Amino acid sequence: MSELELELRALAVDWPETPDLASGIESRLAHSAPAASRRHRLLARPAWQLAVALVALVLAIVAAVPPARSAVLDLFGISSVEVVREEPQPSRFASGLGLGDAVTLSDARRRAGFDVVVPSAVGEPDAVYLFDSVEGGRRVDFVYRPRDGLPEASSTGAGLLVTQFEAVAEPVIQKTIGAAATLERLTVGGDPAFFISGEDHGFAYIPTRGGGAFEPQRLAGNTLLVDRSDGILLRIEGDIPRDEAVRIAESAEP
Amino acid sequence: MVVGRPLTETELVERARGGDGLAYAALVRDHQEIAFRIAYVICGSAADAEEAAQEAFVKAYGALGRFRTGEPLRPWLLAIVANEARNRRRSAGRRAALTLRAAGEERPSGEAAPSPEAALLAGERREALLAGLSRLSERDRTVIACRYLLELSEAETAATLGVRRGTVKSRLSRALDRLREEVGERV
Repeated sequence: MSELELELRALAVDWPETPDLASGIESRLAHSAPAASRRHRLLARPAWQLAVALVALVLAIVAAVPPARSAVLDLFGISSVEVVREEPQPSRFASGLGLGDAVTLSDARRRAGFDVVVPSAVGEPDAVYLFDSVEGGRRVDFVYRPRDGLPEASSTGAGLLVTQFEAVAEPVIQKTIGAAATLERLTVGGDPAFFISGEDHGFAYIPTRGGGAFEPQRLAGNTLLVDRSDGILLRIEGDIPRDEAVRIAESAEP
Repeated sequence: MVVGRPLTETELVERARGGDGLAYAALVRDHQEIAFRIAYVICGSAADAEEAAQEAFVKAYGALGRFRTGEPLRPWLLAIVANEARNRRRSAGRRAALTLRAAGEERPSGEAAPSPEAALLAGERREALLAGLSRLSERDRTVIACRYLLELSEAETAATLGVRRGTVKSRLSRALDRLREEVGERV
């Protein structure tokens, strides 16, 4: 290499500051066509669904072998939440909210197997449900009746639905979001969070220690998902604006 | 998506192909700096470079279906960026003059700090080199910037410029000769 080449290589250029293109792109893509080229779009959709089905199948197989499970979840890059854009399929939403048994709050605290958090901003729930299948993961649902500040949500009929999962045991959640729904990335109390709004979107969940079966999907309204550092995945759903959902999530404490 | 480890580029590409805008934004974040700098060298203005890079990333998203899985993404993206930047430069009525400035510090070389006089001379030399580079044709300065300022490999430079590796070699050698003339050196 010549001296000039060495000099050029040693040059530190004072480049103009790189603009944050990624954020701009993200908002532009929300209004544009999916990644597959027009020619391939019809093919791409079934292929993607096939991939989801294959992942579910592999998860179902390895779920029976606990040591293999976390390795495989890791292989797929899934440890707690996965958000996938896909049109919800209304025919699958007929199964209601899929809540577990009605219990008291203290029952739920005792049996959940994790520190149940209560959002003090909305107080104690009107009803508590515990989903506790023998081989599956545990889930606690709080239902709040519609009241001032918590209008009745068309997706649940409740004022607010607060769900907590045992994320330590690596539950896999898949949210299916239609193209018309918007997804915002947030930080709530220092933890990564997502706010999904704009249009009803699907919601499905694979129990942690379950046979890998998806729970029935249903349509969900405005939803805030918080991947809490204490291992709990907090989900807040209601016909409320983003900032209100964030305020409620931030008030959640054991 | 919230995941336990960073996804690999291949995984992000697969997700982006499935319409996952967040995955694509993560890919853009990984490559936006070098993309913007290449566009800046070609366009000559930061505003044009930003628009060109932005437009290129949107086009690349639409073209992901044609990207061959397993190939490195960076040269593929940079080729789209360079093309977009050249189109923008061509269509722009006025041509912005590129200004490249040297950063205050030389890259660490592990040598002892130079004397103030030596540092001043070195500083002048750096500014002269960059000013000379700015006066070169777009084609000449881009190949030099790719190889030395942005440190792309020969293969990546070839992909970015859409030419064969042999062409990169010959183009680079001619561009260096012209830069020597610009800074008043004998060829």
